Amino acid sequence: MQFSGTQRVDAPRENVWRALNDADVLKRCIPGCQELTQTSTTEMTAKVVLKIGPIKATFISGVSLRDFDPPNGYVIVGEGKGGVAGFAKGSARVRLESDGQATILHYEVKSEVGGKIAQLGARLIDSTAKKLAGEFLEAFGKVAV
Amino acid sequence: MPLTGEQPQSLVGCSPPRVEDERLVTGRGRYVADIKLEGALVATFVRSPVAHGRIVTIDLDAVREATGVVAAFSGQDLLDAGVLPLPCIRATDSADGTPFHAPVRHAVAVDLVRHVGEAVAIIVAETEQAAMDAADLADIEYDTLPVAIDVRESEETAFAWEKGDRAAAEAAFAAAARVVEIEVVNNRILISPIEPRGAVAEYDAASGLFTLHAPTQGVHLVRRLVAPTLDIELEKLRVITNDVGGSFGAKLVSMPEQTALLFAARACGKPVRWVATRSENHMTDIAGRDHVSRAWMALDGEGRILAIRAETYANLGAYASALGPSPPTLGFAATLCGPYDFPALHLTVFGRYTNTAPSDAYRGSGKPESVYLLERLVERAARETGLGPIEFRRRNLIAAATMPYRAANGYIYDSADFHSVLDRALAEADWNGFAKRRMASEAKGLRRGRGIGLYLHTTGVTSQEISRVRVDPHGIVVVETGLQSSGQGHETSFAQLVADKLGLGLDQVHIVQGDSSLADSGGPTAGSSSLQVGGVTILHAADRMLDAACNEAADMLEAAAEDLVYHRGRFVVAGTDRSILLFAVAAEMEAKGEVGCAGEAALEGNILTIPNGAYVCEVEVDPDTGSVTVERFLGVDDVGRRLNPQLVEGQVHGGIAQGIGQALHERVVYDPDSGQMLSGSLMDYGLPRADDLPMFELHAADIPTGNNILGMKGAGEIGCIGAPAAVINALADAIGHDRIDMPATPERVWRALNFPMEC
Repeated sequence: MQFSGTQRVDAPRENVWRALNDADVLKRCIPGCQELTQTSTTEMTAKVVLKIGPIKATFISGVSLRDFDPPNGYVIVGEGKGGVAGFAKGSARVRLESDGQATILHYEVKSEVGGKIAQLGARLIDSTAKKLAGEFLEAFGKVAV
Repeated sequence: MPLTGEQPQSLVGCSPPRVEDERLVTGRGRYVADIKLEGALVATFVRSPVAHGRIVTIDLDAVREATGVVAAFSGQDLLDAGVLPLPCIRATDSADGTPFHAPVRHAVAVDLVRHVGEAVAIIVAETEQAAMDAADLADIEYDTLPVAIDVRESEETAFAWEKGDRAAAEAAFAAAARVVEIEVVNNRILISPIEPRGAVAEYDAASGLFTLHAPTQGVHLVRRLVAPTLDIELEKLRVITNDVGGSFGAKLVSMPEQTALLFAARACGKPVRWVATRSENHMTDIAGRDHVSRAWMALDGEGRILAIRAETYANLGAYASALGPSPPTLGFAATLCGPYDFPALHLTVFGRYTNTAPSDAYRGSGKPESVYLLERLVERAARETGLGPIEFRRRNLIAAATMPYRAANGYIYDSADFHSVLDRALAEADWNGFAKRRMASEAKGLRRGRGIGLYLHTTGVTSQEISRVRVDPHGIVVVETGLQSSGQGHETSFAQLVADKLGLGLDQVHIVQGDSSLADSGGPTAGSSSLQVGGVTILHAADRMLDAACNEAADMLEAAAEDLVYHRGRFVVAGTDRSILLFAVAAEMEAKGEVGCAGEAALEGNILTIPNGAYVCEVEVDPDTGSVTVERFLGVDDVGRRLNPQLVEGQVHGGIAQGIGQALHERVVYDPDSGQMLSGSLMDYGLPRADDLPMFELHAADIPTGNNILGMKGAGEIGCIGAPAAVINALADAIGHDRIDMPATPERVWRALNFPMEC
């Protein structure tokens, strides 16, 4: 599935960019994120608890940043395995645009799930992904200021 | 030895309470999940979350170290141990001579997965909990590959098969006054028996004997299919089936788990059991139907059919299942001529592979697909010629006087009266009084439609049955058969036949099924044929038993065998009061150390029969929501002769329910891009429920067949063969056009009503 949107963050673009590259900030903002460890400038590993419909699973995920273009944006890509629950993978293309002292964050999200999550939660995936994105952006908007 | 003229009250044609029901409804049925063997381990399967991909790495070390885990095996482990791929025994070559193509199907995937849910590892543990927990620890990397779900998008062809006379059909089309064309989708559906698949596997190292306890439709076919995967002789595998909670094809053929479990039992030195979850059934059971078909009808100026051409794209799934190529080819072609009189037919079937679960014979096995296509085509021709559904059919139905009739597909119809069946159905359904009912519906703001669906079936052709009848001196006649009930009531119907023949009580006949050690061959129960097959062979076996017993009785009575008559459990010296009980004869034969008092018979000769009928359906459609209510469903069936009318009616009820399910509710859905299964549970897959169905009105119009000694034709599958077209034709009548596919869900119906030009 795919969706896109924009979010206004009340902080200058450089601050938003820094926050987007701060593992601590990401850890606090990604819903269900229990661990996030930076292994290089563009690579991280994460442990995320995700609940879709009747399925709740812990995903061990590799996260990488691509198309790195400071301070204009990047693509964040994650692919997690949830054991017998299946897999979830997704990417978000993020573009930052200055708007005075604020920043407009444009995002395009793509996600895919497989295995049991898809069988039992397929019709809930769109709404779940949008809900998680909303939670992330709300938390991020507060932290990045 | 003649039977006496005076017969006890016949047990044929009546409906005694089912012998098996007391056991089944009081919790004493013994299903696969009830088989708890001492020391048995529990298996679980790690299944692919991707629809198509290479297995890059598979690491089961953490699984093997987990608490309670005894062993874990990848597909490579099985391959290294000499386990062989699953066979397809219906290899179907293309019409141009190209050999059948089938991808190698391992019991557990090696290197490549081709559908979601394919097993990639088997974990054996002390408890189910331990096995399932450990499954989380399997570390498997997949490199995903592009998927094909829709058969029209598949690029992997198994065969391009043809049937009929292409030149004759082309000539008829060239001369036609009118050509009518239709394209229909026959939706992929799940079988959904109440009891899921499962198996308990045992291996005895001392004798080298494997035992597989599994629900089947006949132990012998499964044994023939599974033994080669273990590279063992047939005699080294015993298959045992106890009670079976529904099958409809799902348990007919071998399945990958059976091989993997037998391998694991040998490797672990203990019995290993596994019962599928409902989710596993959705992902891995054989699927039914899944065709996209186009058909053309050539007509003369008076609306008479000159020829039919059809092209079908059949989705075989990811692999060729054991009988997988059969339903869309031989099965489909068998009934494509239906009850209509026309001289030329040509059919091309493209069997193709996709990234979906393998398909195989589901109740009807190709016949529901071709009958649906034919009846939709006939209905369209009835519209386009302006003759209407009744007159068009009457002009084209085969006349009873022409029996035996040779249809354009080569099948011989021995007995049927299609005109009478249609007339009877119209009369019973008050077809001509429809206008009043339509007005009543319209007064409620609803649209009403009526539709007819004619069908025929070709039954009695699929078995290698050997039946035995043995008299136990303790007062029981034991009947052994390779046929297998999965709910049909064989313990009652076969017992009725034998009790009737031998003049004994129903409780004196005991039916034994489900053990491959009883005979070398037999069964399976398939194709609505058990009675025509088993009924006939069992009666022949009983005759042979009586012959043997008569000779012994003659010795015992010091009379000539020719002077004996058999009557109600006794041999009587004709014209005297001297007699001896059958059971006493059996005791004497057993005491002498002979084979006992028994007879055996194998199926011989052609026993093809043509059950047929007419179904009339009336639906109401709510134009605001598109929801469809089946208001009436009426059937007139010719099944030859009814051994147990209630069992026949039960079979037809279940079949109609499945047919209505296919027409209105059921559809397996995979995401077309990722190949993920979206109808993965009964939350998202629409099985029909009791309140989706009306009370069925069924009438018998039986004409006994001369092709078997019982006069009986098959009944088990007719409901789901005939029902879908009747429902959709009624729906088309309600919405005013016929551009709608199954399942006619409310959304589709609403679109068909509101955007008819886009359909």
